[in-house]
Amino acid sequence: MGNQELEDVFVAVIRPKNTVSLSAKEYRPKAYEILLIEVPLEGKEKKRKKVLLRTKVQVDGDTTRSILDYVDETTKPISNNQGFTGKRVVHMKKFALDGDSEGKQASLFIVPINVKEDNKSTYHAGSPNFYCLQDIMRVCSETSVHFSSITSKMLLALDKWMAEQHTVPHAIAALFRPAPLDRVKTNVSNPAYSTDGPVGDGSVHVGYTALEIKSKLMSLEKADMCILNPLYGSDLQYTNRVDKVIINPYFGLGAPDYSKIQIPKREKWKHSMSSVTEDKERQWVDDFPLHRSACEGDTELLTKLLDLGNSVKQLDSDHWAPIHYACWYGKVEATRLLLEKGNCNPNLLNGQLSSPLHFAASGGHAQIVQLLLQHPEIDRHIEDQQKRSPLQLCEENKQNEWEEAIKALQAASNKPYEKVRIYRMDGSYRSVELKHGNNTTVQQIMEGMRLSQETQQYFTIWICSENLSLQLKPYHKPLQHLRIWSEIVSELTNLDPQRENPQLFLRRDVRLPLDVEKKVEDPLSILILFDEARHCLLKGFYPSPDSKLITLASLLLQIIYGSYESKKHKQGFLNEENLKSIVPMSKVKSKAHHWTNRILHEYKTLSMSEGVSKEMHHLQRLFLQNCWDIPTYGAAFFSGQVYTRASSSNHKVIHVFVAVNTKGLHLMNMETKLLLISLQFGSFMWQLGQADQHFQIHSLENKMTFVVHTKQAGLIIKLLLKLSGQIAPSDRGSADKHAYG
Amino acid sequence: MFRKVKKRHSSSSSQSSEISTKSKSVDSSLGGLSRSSTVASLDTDSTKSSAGNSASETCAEFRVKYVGAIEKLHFDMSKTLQEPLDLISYIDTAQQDGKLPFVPRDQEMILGVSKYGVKVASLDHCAVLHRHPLYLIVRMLCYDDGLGAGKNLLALKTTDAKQQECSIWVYQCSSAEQAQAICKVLSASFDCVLASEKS
Repeated sequence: MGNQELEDVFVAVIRPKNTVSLSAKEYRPKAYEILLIEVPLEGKEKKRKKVLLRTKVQVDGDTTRSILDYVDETTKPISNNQGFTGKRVVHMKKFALDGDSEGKQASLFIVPINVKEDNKSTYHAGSPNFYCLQDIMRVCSETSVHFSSITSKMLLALDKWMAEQHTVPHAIAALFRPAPLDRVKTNVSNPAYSTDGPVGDGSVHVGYTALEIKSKLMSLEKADMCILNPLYGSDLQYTNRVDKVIINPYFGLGAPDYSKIQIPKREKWKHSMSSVTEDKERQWVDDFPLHRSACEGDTELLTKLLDLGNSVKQLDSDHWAPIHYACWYGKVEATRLLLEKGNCNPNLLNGQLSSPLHFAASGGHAQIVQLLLQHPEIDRHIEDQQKRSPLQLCEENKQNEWEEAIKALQAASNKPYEKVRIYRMDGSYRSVELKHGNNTTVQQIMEGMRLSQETQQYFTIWICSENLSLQLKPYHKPLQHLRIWSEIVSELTNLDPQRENPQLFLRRDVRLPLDVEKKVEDPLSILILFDEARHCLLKGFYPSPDSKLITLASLLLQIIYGSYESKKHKQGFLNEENLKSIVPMSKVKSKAHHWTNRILHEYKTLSMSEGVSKEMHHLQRLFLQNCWDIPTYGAAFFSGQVYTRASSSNHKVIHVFVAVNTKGLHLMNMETKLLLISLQFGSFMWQLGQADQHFQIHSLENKMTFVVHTKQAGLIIKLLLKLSGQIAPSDRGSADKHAYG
Repeated sequence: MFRKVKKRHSSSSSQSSEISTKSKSVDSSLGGLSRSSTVASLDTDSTKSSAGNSASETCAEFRVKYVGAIEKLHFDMSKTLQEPLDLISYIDTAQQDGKLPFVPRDQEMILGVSKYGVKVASLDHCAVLHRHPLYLIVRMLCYDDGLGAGKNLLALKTTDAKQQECSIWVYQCSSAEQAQAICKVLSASFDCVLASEKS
């Protein structure tokens, strides 16, 4: 040991005065005490200076142990011979020495010890003593005479270091924490690294050497199985190509109509999943026999069910109609039956907005595709919700006889379109191509009419049968109205639907304001308006004074027969047959005979008059001019009943026409064609009755109230609202099934 | 020199095969409970042979927090860390010098102890953060961190295969009981391997 090299070390033994200071965030030197030793000043016997403890330790030895031992030894005199046990030895810094050992360095170690205890320490000359750090630091400076110069330097550094430690969380607490010996709890050491030979701990591993143990431990690391990724390191390229994409077809369509979503019965969802599907299927078979027979292609049952009057339009729990099943499963005969016998709409959409043609094409059922394409009402340009055509689906899916189906689809696209006749009130018609089969809208038909832009705006498509006329909206599909006309007739009237044969007409738009009509110059528009006005006049829809009817009759004579010729147009010329074409039907028998003279006279005057242009459209316009002030001109006519109380006991029923036009509401006796009442907008109020079966009119003028009973009450009120300006024309009520756009 | 050891699944009479099964998945909040179960199984089963041989698949799990590590210390250095107290001193000093934090971050991890060693994984078991094979674990120490809150630290000293370096890993346990339990399980793991039949 003696030959070991020794090193100078300085030791700063520090202790907190109380435990509180350990948790203080701010550094206060006052809270600490430091151990210093007083030594006489060289040469000056009386004066002493304080120095830090200083000792020598072996360079290669256990510095910590040596220092702790030294501290213990040094402090024995001041603590009842117990000595202070340093918690740890913290190396702070190295300092350059001066004086004798100039050029050498010495380390300063900090030894924290326990908190100061109450028992007074005894002072021994020559022994170290605790001093309040604050007191010390107050007098400490580089040149202070109270300390040796190296001590001063170190104390200043220590002070700074302590301040720094306080800024680090936990650092001070850690500095003064108990020595490791007091904190260690459990030690588990690996017998393989045991230093003292074969382990003798217990009975378990007696006889094993450390190396044997290690080999046993290592064997655990050996794998039972090794799997190498065969693709690792190969040239296979990673791609992020997607194999399949499924898009929720309902996404973006907004909230569903919850009222249409059925909640299954409790018994159903209480069963387990498998039985639910089973139940569902059984239920489906029971609930939808037509669907099932279409699905299975059971033509016998299908025929029977159709005969029983099962609706081909009914949607099942999946919102499919029977024809969708027939097309999906490729049942040709079933499809044919549904189309022909069931008169099913070939463009019927299912709940997911797919058509039978889509199903047949995507399944590659060429025969059904053919069958559907032959149907006069088929919409060959139909698109599904994703805007795909049947052809696209067919090409994508490539099922069954898809190639033939494609051929059929392509061939169909070259075929001419089916046409529909649009009549005018004079009986003439124009055939218009149905580009979208029965999906063609009023707007598309109007475009196909090839009318000028100007003419188009005065007219629209009406659907009319003998006793019911409805104006259609631009988005209505007139062919589909024709299809279900009998249903509409039964819904809106008490008439026999079989006797009402509907046709499509080009007629004056009921919303056309008179001011606009008065400015019409276009001869074709005038002609069409004239034809309609004449038709209405003769049908008796324009109740007017006799003089007005005579004027109109003479105008018609001029228009039909040209200028008056005395030879031709004698008294007998106006026989009943001819009268029928110039005066209202109701007047032909009763009054018209008495008018012939006056009619002929006016006819003569008109023909002679030089101020009147004999141009046809001028005459027609003149006729229209005379009609404009008739209260019911340009009206839509509805039918209804009014009950009057003839006596207290019995009611009298009057059948009436309800005429609604831009002027207001008018009631006409259906039999006599007499105007019963005419109310201008603003002079009356209305109210729709229960279940749309009647409406009430209250005249503000004479405080009269009357009730009209009609199934068309809903339509009438809607039209009143529209024409009186109470609904914006763009309002598209969901209930506007049929009319008045 | 290395002897071949039989396939480990055959260790039918292992004393510890039940240790791990019983102490499986110990929640940190139930440190007390976990300890009792672990210790009980250790104590009672140490002499019995158990029927199960599923020890290889079982692993006792504990929730701990990771304080930090001092990795790849030179062998010379590791020599001076032979004694447990030296190790604590060393960690203390490292903390004082700022090389290791005093306290862990808040994130909890799963420390699993099995006869394959110690594995530290994220809570969802998705990421394995450290794995210390049993044969490289030199020592596990449980001690109070001394900061006053009574927290227990777990210091793990490991070496590398060539025994040229050593590393120190420090975890904070949720309770003293948990720390004890971890030590017990590891100790049992060593015993378990050694008790397997000689081959």
